[in-house]
Amino acid sequence: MHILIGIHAVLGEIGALAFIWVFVEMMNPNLAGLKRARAAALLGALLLIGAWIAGGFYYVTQYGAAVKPIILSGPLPWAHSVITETKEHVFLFLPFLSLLSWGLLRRYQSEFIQNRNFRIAILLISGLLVLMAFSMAGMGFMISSGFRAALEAKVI
Amino acid sequence: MMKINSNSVIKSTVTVIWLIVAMTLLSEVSGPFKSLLIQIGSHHWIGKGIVSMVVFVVTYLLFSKSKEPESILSGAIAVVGSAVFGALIIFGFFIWHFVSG
Repeated sequence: MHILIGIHAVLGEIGALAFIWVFVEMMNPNLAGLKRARAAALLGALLLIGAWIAGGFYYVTQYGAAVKPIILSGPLPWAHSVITETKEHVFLFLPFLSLLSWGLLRRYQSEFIQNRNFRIAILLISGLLVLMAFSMAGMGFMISSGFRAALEAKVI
Repeated sequence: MMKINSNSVIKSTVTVIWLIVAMTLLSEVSGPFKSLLIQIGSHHWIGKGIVSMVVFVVTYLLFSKSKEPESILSGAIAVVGSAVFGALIIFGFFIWHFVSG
């Protein structure tokens, strides 16, 4: 267990919740709802950037030396070779997607109320952000399982 | 506060997504490219992050005076499609890399 993993996971999941908030606000927006959606998108972007920094610091300073060799020597080496490798790179999409979402919400106002296509655009981007952020949590679970399986294999 | 150009922020997001995909694959097959990323950021993953941020800002500035679209839906579809296919390409590559040993 490492505090940076906890911080990474908490920031990432609250960031995902912020974009669920954006998604819900954009289903039937009004001016007050748009204001909340903008605040939620900014909060979500900051949280995902925080998750990037916390997870990245852990990955660079701890994971490579202390966790990766154990997973690779255990019964589920794909947990690193496929899952960690995918997670660390696909995660890089998230801060930029979140900044895009916030940027578009800042750029337009009444267009979101009057034009259905503008609403769908934000629904697509925020929905994707939510799914990708939760898939990161799922991959984190698989990586932890790979580590635990390796430790159990050595103990038993 | 600066007015954001929607066309530019969409273009820079799509560019960065495909740049991340390209850097990910290239750093696995090219030692010199991985070394270059390490030189940039002390770790190849930090190097990818720094290059991505710089390209995002530069691409945004490059298109910041461009004409904005009537609708942002096609841009959003391009972003979502790029993210989904980009993620599948990265996932598929690492499966292939693992299976082929």
